[in-house]
Amino acid sequence: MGAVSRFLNQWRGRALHAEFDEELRFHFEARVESNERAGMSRAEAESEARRHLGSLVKATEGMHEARISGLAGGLARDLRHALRLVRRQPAPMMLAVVTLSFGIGANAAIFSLLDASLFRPLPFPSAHQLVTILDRDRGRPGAAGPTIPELLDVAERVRVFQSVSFLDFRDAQTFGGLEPTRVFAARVEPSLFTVLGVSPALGRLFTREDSTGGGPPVVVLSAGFWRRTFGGDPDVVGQTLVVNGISCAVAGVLPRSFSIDYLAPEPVDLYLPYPLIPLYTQRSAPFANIRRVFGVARLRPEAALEGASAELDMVARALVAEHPAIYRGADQPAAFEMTAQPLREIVSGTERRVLLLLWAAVGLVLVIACVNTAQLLLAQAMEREAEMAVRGALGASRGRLLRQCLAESLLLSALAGSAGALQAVWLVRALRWLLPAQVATVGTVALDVPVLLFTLGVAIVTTLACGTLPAWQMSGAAPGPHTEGRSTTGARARSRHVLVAIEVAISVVLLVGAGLVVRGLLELQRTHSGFASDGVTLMRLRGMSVAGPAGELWPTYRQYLQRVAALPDVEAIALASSPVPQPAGVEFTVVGASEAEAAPVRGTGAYSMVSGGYFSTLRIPLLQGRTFDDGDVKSRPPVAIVNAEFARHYWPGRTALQQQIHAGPGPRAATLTIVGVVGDVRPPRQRENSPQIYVPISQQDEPSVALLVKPRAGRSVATAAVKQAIWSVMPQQAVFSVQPLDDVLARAVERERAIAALLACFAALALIMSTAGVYTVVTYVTARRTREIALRRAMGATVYDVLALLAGQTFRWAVAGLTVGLGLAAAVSGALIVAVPGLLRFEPATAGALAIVYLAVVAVAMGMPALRALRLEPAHALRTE
Amino acid sequence: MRDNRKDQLQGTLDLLVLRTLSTGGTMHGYAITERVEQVSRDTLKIEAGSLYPALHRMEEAGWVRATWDVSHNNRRARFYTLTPTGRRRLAEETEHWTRLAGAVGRVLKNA
Repeated sequence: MGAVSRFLNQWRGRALHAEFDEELRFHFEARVESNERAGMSRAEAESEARRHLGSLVKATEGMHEARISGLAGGLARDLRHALRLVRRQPAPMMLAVVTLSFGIGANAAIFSLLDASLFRPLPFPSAHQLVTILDRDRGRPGAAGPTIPELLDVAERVRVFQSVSFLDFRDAQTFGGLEPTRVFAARVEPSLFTVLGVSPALGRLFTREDSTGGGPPVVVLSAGFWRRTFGGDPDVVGQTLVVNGISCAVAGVLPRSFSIDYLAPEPVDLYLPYPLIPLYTQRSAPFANIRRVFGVARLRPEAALEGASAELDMVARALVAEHPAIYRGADQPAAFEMTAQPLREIVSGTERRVLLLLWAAVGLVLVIACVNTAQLLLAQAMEREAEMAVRGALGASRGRLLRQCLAESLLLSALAGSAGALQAVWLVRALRWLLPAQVATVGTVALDVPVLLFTLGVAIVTTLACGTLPAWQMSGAAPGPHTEGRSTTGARARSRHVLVAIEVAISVVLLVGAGLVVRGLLELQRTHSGFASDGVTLMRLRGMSVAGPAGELWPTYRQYLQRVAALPDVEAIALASSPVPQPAGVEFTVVGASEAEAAPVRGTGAYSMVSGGYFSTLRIPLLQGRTFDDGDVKSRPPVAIVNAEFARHYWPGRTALQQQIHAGPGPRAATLTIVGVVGDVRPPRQRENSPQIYVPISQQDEPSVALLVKPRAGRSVATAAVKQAIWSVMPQQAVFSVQPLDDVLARAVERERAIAALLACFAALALIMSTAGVYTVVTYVTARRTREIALRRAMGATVYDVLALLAGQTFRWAVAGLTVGLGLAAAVSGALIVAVPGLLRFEPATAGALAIVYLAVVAVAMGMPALRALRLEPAHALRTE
Repeated sequence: MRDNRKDQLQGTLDLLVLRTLSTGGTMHGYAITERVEQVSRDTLKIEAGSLYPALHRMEEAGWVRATWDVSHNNRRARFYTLTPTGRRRLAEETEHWTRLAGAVGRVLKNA
């Protein structure tokens, strides 16, 4: 208790001193009184009492020491001393502040990202009860969302769930104003908002009648859409919005804080009730068993996740038994499972490793900053050995000197911490701009209290870490050689050199890691081939039938193609379900082939629905047969075109034409006759050729399509003209996401690009810092040995001798660090490959090249101060000390 | 060596103060000096410069408790009372002192 109260007494020092004075005054007056009683005069009595009392200063000081602990008072003194030192010699301290603040700022920024994406709970009441339900096929990696019939069964049979709901996302178009607008919508099962625990900001949310067709069509707006489109009109409820050609009444508006954007591919503008009609809910309906939704369930308060998974497992087994045709392949055993996962993990799971990787990298940067600062402080400490030795000789205890050094570190941490926090503000903004939306949209990335606390903690820990070693060494300085004012080469070279080695090793790890990621990125960007994207503009649209909501889409599409092709300067035009074949494919079997043959009979391949002009638009060569034409309509036998890889692999030595395959997703699966063979296309991120199947979009009803417009060479096609052409067919058709195909392709590697950019920044920081560290060490060594160098030069030492003397040892340690760093990098790159799929393996060539470059930079940093020392006139140098 | 001597003197002062408080009950600093002088027949004089730091140190250590109260001449004074901890401490110090004094006495007589 004593220590605490003595510590706390610092803040009532004034009151305590008043008490001391009063106590002593009482003593004085009591003595005066007693003297007067003994017969002295007033003056005599007072002077006797003063003598009797002795030194009042001594008494007060003694009481002060007894009652008030000296720590903070001493600390203030130490801080003042530290400030004086900084003012006298600002350069090294400022350098340390800048170095550390980079490390701290970067860490705070990345931490704020982590905090927002991984640590903070989802913004829903009792968010820990929220889970998502997933389908898993034991034969395949990864998981998929469940189907609606499955979820309805789960809601009915699993008891640990309080409630089950689901949603999916889709484009929608709203009409009104100048042109049809494409918006992004979520179709939600009506209880979703209840399950999540959200109440409306205005109006109401969905009821069961909204989904069963019992009431008029309604829509719920996101707060953002309400502000943008309705100007935040408080009387919006009941107004009409045309969505996908249907007039919907606005039922309500969601609160601003509500967002499920992190589940969605893009921000959600409006919410529509999921139609709970047999077409969607019955297993017998087409697509019902392949239409995947996002399932959300809330556990009962007392229930655990394991219980849910166990029950889901039972339900899955029951479903397999009840519907063998759906869950069991013709000859395979059932491999269907269902699991529950915390909603929080689904949200961040995909990005977790990337973020942790970035955190690790930025942590390494901080370590380098620390080591670097330790170097600076160490160099400074050597400069001040004389001061410390004198103070030690005058009676300052080692603890006292240590405290002085740590006070300087504290000043450093305060400065570096606040500079780091300032930097973090900017870095967070940069991060938000740099990172693809899904990485950072969970909650808002901001510098809030936890982040600032983290920054503060980091600042204190780091400065203590880098201040302690120099402080310990400095406080131990013995009087003797230092006090003579002459410098000697200390025995402490080793700790400096170990620091150099650490710094170099970590920098190499960062440099090689970043190098590999950048190389991997370049490789990824280079991969796509087999087609020409230059000049092609992509426009997305969601097809509408001229014959009304249930009509076929192809007649509309054909008219779009005709009208747009008729525009001047349009060289080629096509419609496709995806601009380039997607790597994830569908299963197919070769019809008529027997297992006995050498060629395989089944496989997976990319599946694209395209119009006939697709191949000429992207300049994919037609190798055999024909492309699709107006004859390929629904009433005719379905046809397909495959790529050369497919033909080579499945019909080696034979023509693929007129062969048949059975392929297609779900109910689209059909027996297709091959009518053509085209060149291989490698989309971004894909390194090797793989089977690709193209089917005519004219034989399908695909609402989500991309229009590819290729202008004549040297010309361009105005987007407005294309839109006008389309509107001349269908005035309500929204045309959106208009962008060059090249941009779309580049975005496929957006995440890797962001990671590569960040890692490259960190590596650059590491490079600069470690170079500065090496430079500091050699500069310092050189400065201390100026006289020696001059002597050696005067006695005939060569430039090489002196360089070896000054930088040789540092260089050897740097090389040792480099070797260790390369080894670590080789090990770490394994983790990198897991974290960032698509990266290359550890490449000795890349790593070696980077190491050589790095070594060259380090060598220059070491050579510069040494060479400067060599230029000094020996006679001049001998006189300086 | 120097420190050792200082510690001994301080220990002695603590002993005197604790002992005085144990017999005199609640007392202010001036009364303690008076009492020590009187009992030791003016052989031992305690300086205010030593007494008050000692009292405050013992207060922080929990051996004595201090309260502001009004003295017989109607003035505010700081009164000290021995705490149970202080009483135990007194016993220890007394025992230690007696042993030390006995040992020193024997050395002076016989060595």
